Amino acid sequence: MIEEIVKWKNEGLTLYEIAEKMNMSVGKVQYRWRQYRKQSSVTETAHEAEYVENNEVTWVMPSEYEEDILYMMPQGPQTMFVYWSLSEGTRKMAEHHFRTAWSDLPKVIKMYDVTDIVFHGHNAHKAFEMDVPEMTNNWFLHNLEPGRTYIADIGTRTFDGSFFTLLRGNAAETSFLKEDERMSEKVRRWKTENQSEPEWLENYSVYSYYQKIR
Amino acid sequence: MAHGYIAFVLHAHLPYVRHREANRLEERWLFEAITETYIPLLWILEEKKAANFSISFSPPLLEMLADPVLQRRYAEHLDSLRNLAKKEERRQEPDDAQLVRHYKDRFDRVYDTFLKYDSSILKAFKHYDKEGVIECFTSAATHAFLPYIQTEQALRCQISSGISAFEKHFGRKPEGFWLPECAFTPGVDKILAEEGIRYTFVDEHTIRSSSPGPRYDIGAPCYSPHGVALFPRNQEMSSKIWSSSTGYPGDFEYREFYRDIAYEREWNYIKPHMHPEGFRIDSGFKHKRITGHAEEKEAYVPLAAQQKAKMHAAHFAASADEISAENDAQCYPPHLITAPFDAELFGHWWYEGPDFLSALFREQMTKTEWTTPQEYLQRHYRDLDTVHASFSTWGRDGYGDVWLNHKNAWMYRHLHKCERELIKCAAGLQHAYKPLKQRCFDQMVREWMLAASSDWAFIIDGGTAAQYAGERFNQHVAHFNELLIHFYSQHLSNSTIQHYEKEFPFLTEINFKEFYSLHDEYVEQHYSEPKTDGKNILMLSWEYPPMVVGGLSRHVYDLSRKLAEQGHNVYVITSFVDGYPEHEINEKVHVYRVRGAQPHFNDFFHWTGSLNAAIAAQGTELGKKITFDCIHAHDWLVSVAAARLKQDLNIPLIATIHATESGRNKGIFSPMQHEIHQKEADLAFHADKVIVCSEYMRKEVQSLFGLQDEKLSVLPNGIDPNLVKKPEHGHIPAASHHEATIFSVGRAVREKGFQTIIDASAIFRAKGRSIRFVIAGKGPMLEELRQAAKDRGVEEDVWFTGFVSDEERNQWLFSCDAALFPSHYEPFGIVALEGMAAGKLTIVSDTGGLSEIIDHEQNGLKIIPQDPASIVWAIEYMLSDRDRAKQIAAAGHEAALTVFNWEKIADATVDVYESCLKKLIYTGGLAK
Repeated sequence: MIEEIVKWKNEGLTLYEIAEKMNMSVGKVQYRWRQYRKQSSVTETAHEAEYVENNEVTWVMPSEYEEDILYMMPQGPQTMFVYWSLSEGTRKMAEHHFRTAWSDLPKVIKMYDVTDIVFHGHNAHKAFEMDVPEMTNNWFLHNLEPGRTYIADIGTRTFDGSFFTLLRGNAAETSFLKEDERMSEKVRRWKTENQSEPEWLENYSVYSYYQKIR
Repeated sequence: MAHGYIAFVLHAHLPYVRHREANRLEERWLFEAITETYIPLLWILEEKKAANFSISFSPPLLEMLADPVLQRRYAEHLDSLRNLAKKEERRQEPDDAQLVRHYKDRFDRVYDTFLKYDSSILKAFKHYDKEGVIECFTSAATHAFLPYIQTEQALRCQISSGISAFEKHFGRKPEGFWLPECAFTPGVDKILAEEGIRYTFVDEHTIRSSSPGPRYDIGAPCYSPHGVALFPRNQEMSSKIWSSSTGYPGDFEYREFYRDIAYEREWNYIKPHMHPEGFRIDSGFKHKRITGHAEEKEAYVPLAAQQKAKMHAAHFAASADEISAENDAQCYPPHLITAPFDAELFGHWWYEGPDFLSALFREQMTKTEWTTPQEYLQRHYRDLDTVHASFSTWGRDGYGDVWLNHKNAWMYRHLHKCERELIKCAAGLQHAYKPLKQRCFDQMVREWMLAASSDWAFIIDGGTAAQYAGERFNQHVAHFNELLIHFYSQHLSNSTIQHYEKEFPFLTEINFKEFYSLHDEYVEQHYSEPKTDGKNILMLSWEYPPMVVGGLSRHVYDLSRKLAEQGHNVYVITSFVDGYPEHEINEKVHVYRVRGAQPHFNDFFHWTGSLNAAIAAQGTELGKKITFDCIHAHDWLVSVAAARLKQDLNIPLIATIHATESGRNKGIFSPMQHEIHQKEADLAFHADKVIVCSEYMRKEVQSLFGLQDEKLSVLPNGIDPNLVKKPEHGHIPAASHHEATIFSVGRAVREKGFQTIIDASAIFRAKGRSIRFVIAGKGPMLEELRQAAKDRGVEEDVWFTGFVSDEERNQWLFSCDAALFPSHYEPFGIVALEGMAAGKLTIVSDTGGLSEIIDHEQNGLKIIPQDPASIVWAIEYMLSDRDRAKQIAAAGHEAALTVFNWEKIADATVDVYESCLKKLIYTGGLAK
């Protein structure tokens, strides 16, 4: 099938026209075409999606994006999933600060238990560090405690072994397995006192494009 | 007699499988569900008088059922089925007769029903909903797994678009909402409540593990904290149907799902009813019953199976009665069994399911009444507990394992990115109405929504049809990102968007408003690009008032204020100070105080590293809205952030090097000094221009970092005469028996040379003269200095005040006889200017910047560094000729106010900026 697409493509047809000719969905044709281009090592990154003829754009899904993000999602009462990516700027900044090549810097996840804490970087109930392999951008963290709020950092280590944060993620909560006294108290206060927002973590916040501009 | 209740709830959902081209295999999921589930459900409704069950229709299903193209394709599909039924009649063998008849009658009836409702079975459900025979509601727009949505806006979009879709097809707002996969998480209920939803469904462990523990276990719904009633699934009842080992559908009399005549008939006979590309697919004619575990299956006997369905209905009713009886003590509210199921289970997976339901709803129970969630709430809304429930689902293991595991976890990164891109686009759309862009945006929302359907992750987890799910997900994410490129391009055209719209005409009427953020709107309005002709300057300094550690803070403060006063827009990013705002506009200067991720890192060097990351993040963020002309960074402490921002913002970097580590320490000796020295070198290297405060510093910086001459500019520091004013109040201890008071100020560090003062004082004492030296300022050497004064027996003549405020400093300055600055190393020596500005004779070491400020015996006196005798000489010079000393002080005063004037220095600084901008324009490197 791909031979035919390539043939039409070489004759200058758009993917839409090819789809019509082959009586296939455009999506299917696009998918095949992308696969083909990926395999034939046509250099194309997520950010350099190009305008092909006739205003047509092709886009290939990258394994991660050029951005700083660290996001954590609960999978169950004892498991979290985190994924991350570090922008080139952040990687370079780490290289600059430590005067060490990125590939030589250890990659470490630090998990903080921040239950009921306004976390500022040093006041977690407890924390643990875990080295992650090179070229990793996601991880499942097991054996956590149910009903706790966690925050993860991705970072590296200083020469004397201290953890150095490169990026901090969102707070996320493992599910409770049973009734919890503290939580019951919070629910009672929420019901009886005039609180504008509850004392527990609610998972959604309004995201703004201009996060740091006030 | 006390009664319990049962609420029977069906959730009808299929992913959106309408494709532009016909004969997609997945389209048959819909056709089979219509034939086997949705139309048989209508037959049940046709017989019924009162509502005793509820049904939720997911928006994708609503859209597909109402789609004329799919209706036409379904009609063709039905034709084919009925033709096959006729052919079967002709070819029948004696033992088939009953089954052949069964299928023919059934498909004829399906056909009649479909025609009766004008091809739109949704209209029929709407009719029964209106009549009160059934209670309908809906789900999230594309059945997204809500706890794994990242932003509140996207969550709201899934919920409110689902509600709009329901309104469009049912003509009213729903009161209930099916949480896809019963997936609840704190916060979902807030949006549901805000969108007017009164109830939803969760699994039983959701309520059992909630806090405070529910009074009646799962025998009643509980309110979520935001007031949405959560009806807990009763697993004991649902397992009677769901359980793969003991559930009713596994009964041997029931029809075998996996035996279809499609695989038994000759190809030529069956071909017209198979896929046009020439392969066999299920026909819907199944002639075997489950029989047992053996491969050999016996003939299916519809009547026997229907009989069995009735028995199972009776058993189900009796089980409900048993549970009600066990709980008949419960009242306020009375006991409720909530029994929610996937609708397609009945008919499609369990062929006799509709027969079971039909029989079940006729059952007369002794202890249990039928109810609906809505009815139950109306009666008992006052009697429900409020609980906090945590993240949970009705899936395997009760949490997220089905939708988030090693097979499908990769999907969420892409979905979340879409959400954030939508919010970014929305921020840009808020202002001007751009119809084409809006349409492009709306289509992007649709593509994201279609990609976010929980079905894809579910199917990929399961393995069957995983390729299709993966392709669909990829396709929608790709469409989204292609549209995103179009959104920002100049080439956006009607036909481009149309291509995408036609491919999946889902929720076409809706405009999506949920992605706007009030904050972004505020920023868009209040942060419009500064309109002045001035430059937009991004200023980086680790210290800024009120944080004052050395002279740097004061310098950046004076420079930024003066630049702002001259009409430039100055944005200073500096480190946080507890109790001070993160952002303020102070004398027209924007000040951002940022906090690193580890604001109390115990190692100062890494503390600055952490701070630099925060400075860079803030700078990048500001760069989204403000087109900066250049960055002006001060000293090595911001070197890392400066280099990054220069790269990210693609603008010139100007660095002021106020002092060097090597100069301060007379060389580089420790590893830490080496690291700092490197950061200074990096800053000098990355900078397009380096500013130093004196010729002395120019030489130092040049020799240390090997900079080209033209890269360096010498600009002196300035002084604000307003800050050196004679105080109106306050007094200082008078000099009781002293001939004169000599004032020094500076950090108590070695390079300030205060120990030489102690030595000079000892000389005076030996000479029998009484001179009072006052040394103001604190620092690491303060105690050592105090001890030295004691050891030398001059503690009465050398006073250490410790830290002084500006006001106290001024009191000393104006009441002393001379100001003395005996530094060994002084890149500039702003303190000398302060002495001169106060009109005092100023005595300085002949070193560094100090020697450039003072013209010996013209506007001040110079002494030899580290030579106490030289200090003695200068003071005796003053005491011997007070008039001459006054003339020199007056000349110093004049120089301070004219040569070191901030107005002139700010102008010169802007000239340095300009020279960088020009250079960039020549090389074509400037982005704007």
